[in-house]
Amino acid sequence: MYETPPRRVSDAPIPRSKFYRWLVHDKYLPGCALLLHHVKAFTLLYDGPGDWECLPSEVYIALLRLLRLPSLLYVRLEHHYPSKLFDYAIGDNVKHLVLLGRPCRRYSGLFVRPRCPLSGLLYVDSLDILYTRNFYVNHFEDFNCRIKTSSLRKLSIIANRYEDHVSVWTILQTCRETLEDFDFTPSHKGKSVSIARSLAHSDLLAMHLFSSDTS
Amino acid sequence: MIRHDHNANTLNFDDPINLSELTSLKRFSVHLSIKSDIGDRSVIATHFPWFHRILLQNYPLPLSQHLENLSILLDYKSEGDIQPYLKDIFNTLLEDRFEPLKKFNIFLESDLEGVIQAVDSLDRSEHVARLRSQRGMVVDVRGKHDAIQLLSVNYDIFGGCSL
Repeated sequence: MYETPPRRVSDAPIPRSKFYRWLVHDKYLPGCALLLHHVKAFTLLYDGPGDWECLPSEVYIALLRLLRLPSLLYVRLEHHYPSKLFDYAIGDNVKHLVLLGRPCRRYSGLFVRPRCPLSGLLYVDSLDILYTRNFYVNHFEDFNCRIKTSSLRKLSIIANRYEDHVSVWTILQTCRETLEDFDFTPSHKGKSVSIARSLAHSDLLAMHLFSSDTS
Repeated sequence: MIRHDHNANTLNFDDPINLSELTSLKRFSVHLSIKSDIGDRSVIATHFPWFHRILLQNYPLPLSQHLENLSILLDYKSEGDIQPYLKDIFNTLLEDRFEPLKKFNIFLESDLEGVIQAVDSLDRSEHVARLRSQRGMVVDVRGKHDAIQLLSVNYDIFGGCSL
């Protein structure tokens, strides 16, 4: 019936990052950016080769212009982004940050910089982080970083490793009096191991044998 | 792989995160999992003892005094009853000290058959009934199955036809 054997969807992996490299070849963004004055939310999925260093300067300037708009309240960055982006580009009025990419110190410098770097601190209301450790190292350990979490009201974090819990706690301590909403995915380190046979008797005896004291 | 978690470090796992110090915390959502070892189905790894300990930090003060909304998003990849894992959590919440807690959401994610059974069983369980009746708490139990996995199976069954 079929000349070729049927394939599972998963057998034909799509080079996902290919779709996020369009920005390098984009011709229209620089022109469009000049017309946009009231943008409130900005999402960037860019995973180009060589990251931000390969962006054409006109595209780069257009991005920086959009990120500095006074109307901007929400910024979402995926894949890699330069950690210096916040010091030079992210507007003062941004309140909601979603950082699903890795901030990179290797590409931390911006080869095109606005004439007037923003100097005000960025006190965000909500923060959503995927790479906790990277965020901690690249932002909190940099005294010049503008991102401040002391006014956070909502925090969403995925911890991939136990070391991330330490970083999470460091962030939580900065907003211990303001945080109202906390969404947390713990690392696998926190798991305990049990034997299914014991659970059939509706008790957790075996589980507690392997876990710490919960009292 | 899961057996690797069963070591001295796990026994003494001392989490630095202390929710009781978050004095304004009203809503807490936590993503937990129950998973069987691929090689040995009788070996199960779960976050629940960790979560129970987190919930009880400095109990009864002060987390229990201001938490209004608790959500558990549970990735359930195992066999058997789900309730034993939640028993300690239910018993803690049934105590009056979590007085401000008005909403308890349990969101299960599993395969199709597993999630239907688990949601039904949990929603009609004695613990949930007691939380609803004694505490006047809204307990919302919902489920989600992995539709992509289901589609993938059908994709194989129908010989790779496009859906």
